[in-house]
Amino acid sequence: MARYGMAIDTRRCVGCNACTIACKQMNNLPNGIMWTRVLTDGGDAPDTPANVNGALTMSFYAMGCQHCENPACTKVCPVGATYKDPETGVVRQDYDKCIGCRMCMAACPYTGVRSFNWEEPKYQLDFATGDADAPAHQKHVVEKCTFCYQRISKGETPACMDLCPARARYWGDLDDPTSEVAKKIASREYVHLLPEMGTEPNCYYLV
Amino acid sequence: MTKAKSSQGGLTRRGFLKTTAAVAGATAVVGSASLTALAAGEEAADAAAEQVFHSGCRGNCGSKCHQKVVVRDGKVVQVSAMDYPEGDEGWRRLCVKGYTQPQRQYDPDRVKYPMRRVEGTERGAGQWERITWEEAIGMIAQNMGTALATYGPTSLAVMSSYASYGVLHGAMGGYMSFAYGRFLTGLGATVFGACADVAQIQVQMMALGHNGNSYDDVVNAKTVVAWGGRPDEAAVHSWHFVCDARENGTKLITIDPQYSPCAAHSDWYRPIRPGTDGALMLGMINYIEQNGLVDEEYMSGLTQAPFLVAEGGAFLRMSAFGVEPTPGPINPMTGAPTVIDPVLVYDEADGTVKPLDEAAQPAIRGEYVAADGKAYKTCYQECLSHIGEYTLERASEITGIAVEDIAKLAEIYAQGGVFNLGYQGLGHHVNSHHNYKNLALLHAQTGNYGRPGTAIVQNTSPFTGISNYIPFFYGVTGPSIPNMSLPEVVATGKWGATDVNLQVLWVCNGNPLCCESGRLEMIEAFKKVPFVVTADVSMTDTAMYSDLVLPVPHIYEIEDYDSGCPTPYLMYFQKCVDPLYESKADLDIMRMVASALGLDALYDNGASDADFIRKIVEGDTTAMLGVTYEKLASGDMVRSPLSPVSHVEMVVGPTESARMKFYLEYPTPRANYGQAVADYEHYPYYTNPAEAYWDNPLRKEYPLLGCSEHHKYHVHSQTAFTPWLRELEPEPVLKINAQDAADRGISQGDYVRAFNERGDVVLRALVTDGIMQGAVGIPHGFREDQYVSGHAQNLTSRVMDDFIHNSAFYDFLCQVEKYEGSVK
Repeated sequence: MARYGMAIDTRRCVGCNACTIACKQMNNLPNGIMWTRVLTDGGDAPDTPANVNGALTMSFYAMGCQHCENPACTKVCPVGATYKDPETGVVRQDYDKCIGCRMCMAACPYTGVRSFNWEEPKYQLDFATGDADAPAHQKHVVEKCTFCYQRISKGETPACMDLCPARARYWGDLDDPTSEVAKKIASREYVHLLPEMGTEPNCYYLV
Repeated sequence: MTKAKSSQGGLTRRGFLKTTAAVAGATAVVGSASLTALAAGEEAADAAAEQVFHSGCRGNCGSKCHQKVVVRDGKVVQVSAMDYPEGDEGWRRLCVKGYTQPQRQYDPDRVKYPMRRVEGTERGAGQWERITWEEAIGMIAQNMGTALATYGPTSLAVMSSYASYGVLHGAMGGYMSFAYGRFLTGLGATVFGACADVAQIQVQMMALGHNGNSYDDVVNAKTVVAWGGRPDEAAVHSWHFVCDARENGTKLITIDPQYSPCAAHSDWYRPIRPGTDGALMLGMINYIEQNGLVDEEYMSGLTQAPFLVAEGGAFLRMSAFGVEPTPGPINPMTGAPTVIDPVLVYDEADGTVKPLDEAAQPAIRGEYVAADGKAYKTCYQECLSHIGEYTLERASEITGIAVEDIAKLAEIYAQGGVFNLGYQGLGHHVNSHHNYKNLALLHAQTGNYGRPGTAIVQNTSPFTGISNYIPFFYGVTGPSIPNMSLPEVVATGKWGATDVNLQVLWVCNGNPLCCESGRLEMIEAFKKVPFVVTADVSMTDTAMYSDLVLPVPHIYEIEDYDSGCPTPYLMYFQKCVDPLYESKADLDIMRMVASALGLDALYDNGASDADFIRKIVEGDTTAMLGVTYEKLASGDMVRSPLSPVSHVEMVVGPTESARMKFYLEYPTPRANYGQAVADYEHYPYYTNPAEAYWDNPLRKEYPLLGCSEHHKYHVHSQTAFTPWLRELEPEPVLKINAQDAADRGISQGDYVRAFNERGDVVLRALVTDGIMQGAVGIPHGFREDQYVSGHAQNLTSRVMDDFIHNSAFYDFLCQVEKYEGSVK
């Protein structure tokens, strides 16, 4: 039993998107799909600052499924395709059960972390990249970050954790006080995204 | 609905067993052995289907990331960072571009087979005909043979840039590989070399001999200044060291016309007008001198400051008084003895002029009469005497930075512990090479060099690999010419006094018609060369203007070794898969060309690639280091025996040669063809950029100052079409300040035309407060057909300072207007 979670240090993240592409590669994500991506908290376009009376500010939030403790998505799924894995705390999506109703997408307050394959997924390469045991993508199902379930079940870390150039990501079992992530949360100030939604995310943003 | 049967990536049986085994092992012995054995058996079966290789990125962002490359069913399916041994984890690296390499390898844009321009079509028209390798080599041999017989070896030229490195197939400095070095020097052919970054390479690294402490040393700094460099983008592998430093209390300052992520993380950010950094440095230098902030002990004891300067700019030495120089220790680079001709200083202890090593208290300021009755200034005094006009006020007028901010920055420098992360933001204007002397004097005055937590510019390659350039050379070296001088050479048939009647131009390891400045003039020059060959992985802008295009493999398809060493481990590239399509490695192509010309001896009559790598790492001067070809080829991480430590610091000392330099005793042009050398090449100096300066009357027509950036998604033009990167950044954009955009009726996402007298480009606008008013940022690395029309490099100029021949990518003015035409 574990409760996996992640902390991302916004004082380190520079929005380089290495995590975004590591994820795409390791999970063989179809064209146009990103399970994690970097949002700019700043101006009206990525990588631009906000200007408040001449003071410029810009920060980055690497964002995927928040793997909430109290997920909104699981409550609305009519077929139990999205569910919280009791072994790991990971919010999972069972492609074989998913009927493509997209209720989970509507219920999730974190817009954009889920995507729906309207068509047969397309790829730039004619072979699958990444982990041999990464789940195959399907038409008419919702998908999202799995915390790289195929990797964590082998005792490895999610792909985005493999090497964050800024060393801004921390991962582990939130219930284990000796885990990297638990230690960071204990020692640093953090925020949750949209805490008012009551979802209790297991992704923490160190500020 | 129909669904494919999917593996859910759940706890697989194997994973479950491993988990169970671990738990069992911790709590009870019973059963654990059999479970573990079963799990291991399944893993072995999986491992057979996948092979892991050790390769890397060879594109020149300079970071040389060691990569773990997984091959499944004959295809590269996975790239990740190689693990580094304990203690060196900080050097482990890979960025967003590295992760996309499988896509670059299988890029639809790859050149798949030899192609020749369809006869009767114009260069650049894009009409190609597939031919065989035999036909291609036949065309090359015929053109080369005729040129050699008619005009001699200088009529053949190889042009390269900063695309790829490697002792077999690369082209560092034009010559530095077996493929091209053997061919060029075997014939005495002409070399065209990159102009980008030469200001820094030539002045800072070579003439002044400065490099920085290794990046991890920022944790010892009081203040990190990102000035002309982007640790968050261009050197993202080192950004985590900056983060560590900040967590340790180090302050971060950014000086940049653009508000970068690094600026966003900074404690203090000041925008500066592009190309004026040198004036800021001189303003700070004068302020430091006039306000008693000079580290007097450091300047007197550890820098050139006290050396007396003789007429003509060289130092006053004992030989001027009839004392014959004596031979010194052997120079390991040349094998020849050095010459000792002691430099003279004024000793304040007894008021006499004497050799440096006899002086107790060398004076750094003033003018002193020597035994010949003539007065000589100290080197520092000489420098100060030329830069007096750059007061805080003048520096402020030029740079656009407030007087009090310049003073504040100078005060911070004077407190010591300043680690500067500067790079080509200081290096892309016609006036740029002076910046490195100015910055050196600023760091000399304040003791910010040769101590922990200090650097003039960070060292991007602090470790020492095993290198040996001798085996690349076969005979004589021909003329060595800056790439951007091609138009003059084509027009005159000369380089200095040498005849260069160019008949065959061979482009490799670079895409100069995309990545050098002054593109339109370069294209015209290309069109005048009778036969142009481009060997490349993908169909570059330069390939488009060639007669013959040859496919070369991606790095995963060949082996090579690169002696550059940004981390303590030797960069050997294992071959992971066979070359795709009909591609052939550069060295194999050159072997075939040489053979067709009857010159097999150039490549040692059939020596193998392994034989050549052995000549580097197991040569006469390197064999004793104990690194064998077999050791490299094993794929292990092999630590350079020349870099036993994981941290490097520069050292300064009191002897003449160990002192920190900011003055060039004998300034030597990068490409010497007998041109005059101005006095100011000796000392710190500022002059306006050639075109992009605030007071230029041309700003009435073209008001916006150019600049660009080393963007996180680009390594020159290599990732131009990489699909995953284009999902993140679909098309090139022009960064324009929000006010400048509003003044022109331009809104976010509009298409705009940027133009000047040289040319234009149409692309989407990125309207942002993240670039200072009056400046625009053009993209670097997109290719011609990715713009609506034109090319960003059509705006740039080929103008170079003839002392340094440095590309001046940012030294241009332009106007921007909303584009009203149609966009496909």
